[in-house]
Amino acid sequence: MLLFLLRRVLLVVPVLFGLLLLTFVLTRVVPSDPAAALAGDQATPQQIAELRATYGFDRPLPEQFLHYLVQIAHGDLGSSYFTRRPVIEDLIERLPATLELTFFALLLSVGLGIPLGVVAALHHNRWLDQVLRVFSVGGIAIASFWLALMLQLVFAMELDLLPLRGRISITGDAPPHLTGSYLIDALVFWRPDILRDALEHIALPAATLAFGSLATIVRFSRSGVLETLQKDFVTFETAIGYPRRVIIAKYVLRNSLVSTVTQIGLLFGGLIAGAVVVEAVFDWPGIGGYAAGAVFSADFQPLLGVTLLIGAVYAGVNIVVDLIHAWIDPRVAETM
Amino acid sequence: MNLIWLKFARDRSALTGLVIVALVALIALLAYQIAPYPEDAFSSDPMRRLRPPGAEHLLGTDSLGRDILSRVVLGTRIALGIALSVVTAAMAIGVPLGLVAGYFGGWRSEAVMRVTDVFLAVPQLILALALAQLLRPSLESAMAALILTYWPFFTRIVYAETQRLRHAMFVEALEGLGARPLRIMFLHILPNIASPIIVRATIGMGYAILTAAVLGFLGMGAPPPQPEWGLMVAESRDYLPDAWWFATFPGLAIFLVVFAFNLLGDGLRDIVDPRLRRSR
Amino acid sequence: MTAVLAIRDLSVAIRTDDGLAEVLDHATLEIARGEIVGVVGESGCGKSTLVRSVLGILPPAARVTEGSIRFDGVELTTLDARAMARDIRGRRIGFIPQDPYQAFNPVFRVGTQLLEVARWHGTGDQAADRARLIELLRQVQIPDPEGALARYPHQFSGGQRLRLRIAAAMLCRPDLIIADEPTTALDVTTQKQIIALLGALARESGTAMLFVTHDFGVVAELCDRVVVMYAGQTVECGASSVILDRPRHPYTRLLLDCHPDRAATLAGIPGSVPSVIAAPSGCRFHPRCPSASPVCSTALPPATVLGPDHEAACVLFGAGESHASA
Repeated sequence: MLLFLLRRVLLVVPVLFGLLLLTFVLTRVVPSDPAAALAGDQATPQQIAELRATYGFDRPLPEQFLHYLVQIAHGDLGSSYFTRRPVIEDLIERLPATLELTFFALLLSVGLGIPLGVVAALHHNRWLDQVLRVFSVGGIAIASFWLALMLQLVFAMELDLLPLRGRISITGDAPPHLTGSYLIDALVFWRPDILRDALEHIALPAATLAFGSLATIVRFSRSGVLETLQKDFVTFETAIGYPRRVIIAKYVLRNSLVSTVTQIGLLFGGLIAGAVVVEAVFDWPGIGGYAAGAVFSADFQPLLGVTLLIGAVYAGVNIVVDLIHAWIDPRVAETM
Repeated sequence: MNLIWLKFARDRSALTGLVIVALVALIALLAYQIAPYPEDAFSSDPMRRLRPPGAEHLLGTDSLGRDILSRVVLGTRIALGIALSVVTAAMAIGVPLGLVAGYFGGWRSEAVMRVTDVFLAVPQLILALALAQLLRPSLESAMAALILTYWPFFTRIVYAETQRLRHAMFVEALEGLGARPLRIMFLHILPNIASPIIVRATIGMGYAILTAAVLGFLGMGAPPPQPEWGLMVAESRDYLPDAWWFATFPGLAIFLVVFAFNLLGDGLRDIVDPRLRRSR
Repeated sequence: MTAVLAIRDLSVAIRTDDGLAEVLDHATLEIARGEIVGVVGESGCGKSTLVRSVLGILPPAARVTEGSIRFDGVELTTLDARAMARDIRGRRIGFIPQDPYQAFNPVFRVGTQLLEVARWHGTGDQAADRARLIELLRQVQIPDPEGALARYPHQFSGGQRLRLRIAAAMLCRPDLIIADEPTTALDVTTQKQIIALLGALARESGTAMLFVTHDFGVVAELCDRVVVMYAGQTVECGASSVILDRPRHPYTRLLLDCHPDRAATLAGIPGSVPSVIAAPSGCRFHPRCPSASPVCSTALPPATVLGPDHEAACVLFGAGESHASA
């Protein structure tokens, strides 16, 4: 297992290196004047010249790339023109909010999606299955920004059940800082008032974000169960007298989770990308909203930083997913 | 061929998808004839702003007094236009690369597939945002960004399929006859792997429409006053909750078209590859 | 001797797109307590359907249309699914599958899977069940039985997987074990060892066994009696020694002539097993039978007693009278 982990981590290295190379090419090689492109529309010629000097755009490309790598290794992702702070500081401050939102959404979609998928498979081709099927194709066709507005319209504006935006009430306090996740911190320090407030605030954005991945998980767990049910060992398990409920709940479920779990790695990428839109609509103070803000103000460094950070987080999540996969299906670790 | 049609006709949801896609294509072609106020694509009329749906304006009017139905109808042209060009261009890049990588193997496949991995290492939307931003926000940059993020999907599938056929009897026979690699790849292998490419392209249409709308919503796509669906939803935000129709209908249009393409893609996949039953 | 399993005139039909397929046509066989009976026939002759009927795991499209299956006095064809799962399968009838690899769930440890049967049908004393399983694993010659339980199916060889399955089938001391061509996928040496092992275990514990195979060599080594099937019909049955020495039914004779150990020339049987969808009328073997006469296509002849413990269903053996009496 340790060897598997090591090999899996090594596989990521060339991809991350490639990502650095790609961002380098995009920012330094493609634009005719990278300094001007980096500086943005509002920059004065003086600022552009300064940038050119600090980044060494006049040096040969390989030297620039080396310099770029060194910079990133030191955590230097440039500065934002908008917040006037180093990008890395902004990112560190905002990452917990995004992780809280995406993991909460992931939890929602996995917690609901797997049972729904199993139920659909067990009702194969009956009306419940048909309904869930339409839902699972339709779920990924809804534009998240539109769903966000519709949920705001109904639950926040018309019914006034849930807050419209933000992570916590303006009048309320944030919980003492431990993990940076308000939900976890409020639980740890047992502040039920804050927990409730935070839950109310996360409900709509998490629901929006979870919708698409919920549909995908329903799809995959449904087909996973259907596929497993046709396996010889299921017939055999019946033939040697396992009760049906044990076969479904124990033996079929674990096998069908394999395809669902591999999908979760890809879904996480979708969630974190979807966070850009959802955070922008709900004013969620995470890196997604940060990226969206950078887009509005034509601020390129933050966007670059977000791209690199998300690439790294995404790679990390996929390693974890592979480990879970290997744990569920012991054959995986040996074939890799 | 007949058998394929028969199977397709039996699949009610795929058929529904095909019918909607055909209708949408027709609407896009005849947009200026169908739209009740075709001039509302660009002109505004402050006298009739924010009217709720009624006899005169079936889906209401927006903040500048433009008929929403007309703008949604005209928007199909933009949406389908973007999707078609993005998918075609992504195919033009992705398919030859996949063929070369799959056919030759060795360093060529390593090089192509590692680059593909890098493009797939970041969620598509993030990469598209960074690219669109770098290229200066415009409809063209948005399309370029979508093309650059979607081609790897074609490369991956073509690579896998080509590898599978690489040592098929007919390919080795052709090599024995001295056929040139380019000829084998494009005249003999490509037709054999057309089905998965078509399925991927159908699903890609839905992806392109949805992602283009997101870019439009974030102000990185078509500039105002274009009747682009994502942009329309973005413009509607300040008028919620009173002008609910302003936000609702463009979003519904996106949903309907993407849904139709997904249903169609799903159905096609079932027919092309019975091993992957529905909803894989 | 009382029969532990008695199948009489069992007919099973499956609905298909092309019509009703009668996969079993009045199949009949009997197994006494502690007896090992082989069921022999070519592929597609209904052996697996017979097994599935007894276990009550026919596919949803299949239905028993006629006949009875009595297991220790209990009629299984009408027994409800709950009782079948609770009292019969796993508890009183053990099963050894055709492909011991496909029969293992790849993502669970072997121990979990082997002990699952005992959890639902065992003594209720988990430690005792576990101890018995380990003892059985030792008997089937699995090295390091304790350690084996913690491993995964893919870590065992084909022969070992089958040994594991044999141990599991024995675990709840069933009255009957059904083995569905278990040795097909193995090499000849392993096959011989396992057949010997299986025979010894069954005789020692007094368990009756229904052993499905297409190999008369296995029958000769293992079985007390043998039933020969063709296209869903049972054509001949009797003590293995009798059938092997003096086969009477034309199909059995041809089948035995195909066996490399005894055939002077490898003859083969011209033609192939017919489709059961439009099965030949009467005796289903008549289109391929060298001694066929026009009568053969009219009706299935009843079994004729040819000696002590030897019956065959063919018009060659005094068809006239028995025809009228049927």
